[in-house]
Amino acid sequence: MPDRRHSTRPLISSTLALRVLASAITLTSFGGMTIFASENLHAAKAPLQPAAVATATPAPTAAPTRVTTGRTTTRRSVTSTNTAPLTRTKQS
Amino acid sequence: MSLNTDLIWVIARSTGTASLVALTLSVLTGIALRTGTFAWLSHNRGVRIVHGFLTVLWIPLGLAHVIALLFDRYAQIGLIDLVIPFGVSYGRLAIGLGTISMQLILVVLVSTWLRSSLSNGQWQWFHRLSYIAFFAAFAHGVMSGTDLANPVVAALAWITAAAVALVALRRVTRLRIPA
Repeated sequence: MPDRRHSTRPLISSTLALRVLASAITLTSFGGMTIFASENLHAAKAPLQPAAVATATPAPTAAPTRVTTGRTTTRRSVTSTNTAPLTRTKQS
Repeated sequence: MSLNTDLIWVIARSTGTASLVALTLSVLTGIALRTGTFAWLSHNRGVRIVHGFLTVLWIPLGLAHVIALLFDRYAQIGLIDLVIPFGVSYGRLAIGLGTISMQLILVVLVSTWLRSSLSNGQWQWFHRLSYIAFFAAFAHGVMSGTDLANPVVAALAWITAAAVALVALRRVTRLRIPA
């Protein structure tokens, strides 16, 4: 009975093609992840949150401040309120 | 996009994922050299060449991942954390596993470069550390990865682990696929 190992040819015999395939898989994951990460910068449910940053509660101040919560950075320059406006305009 | 924060954060995530993929391919081809798992794909010489070639891919990606996190002020990871694992103030286990993985990979790499001055048995034992390094890297990715809520990223992570586990099981049970 002939040995089957000697009768079956591998799919890819070129080592260059194998290297290209390995590079393609790696670079596809790199490129795909770069695009995905660029479009999804802030993960609200990220498992790791550096304690010093996550628990930061800045004191109220009149000067413009940068507040970092998780991966989200917001610029705060004026105080806001939830109360209804006293006057109404066409734009409001 | 701010260069100092968001770009570094994107680089850290993409290089981390891609280096895990390349490391997976490296481990798979390494195990396949003994088991003949990829005999349907290529001959053993080709698999060996790719196994060596993959270091060209995952070393720079892994280095870029580490360097990006060092420059990321949000991550708060210092040079000392590359030497002493589990010293970060948050996510100690998750980040510490990444440090352990990096250190083990370094040992495997150095032992490979010094192979001529080691006995075959010594080199094999050093090389087997790559199994632990891979699973430490995988656990690091799963525990600290911010993108696993996305099904595609999660699938990618679990496929890498499943593939290595399957091929490693084949190696342990000494099953050989006829080529």
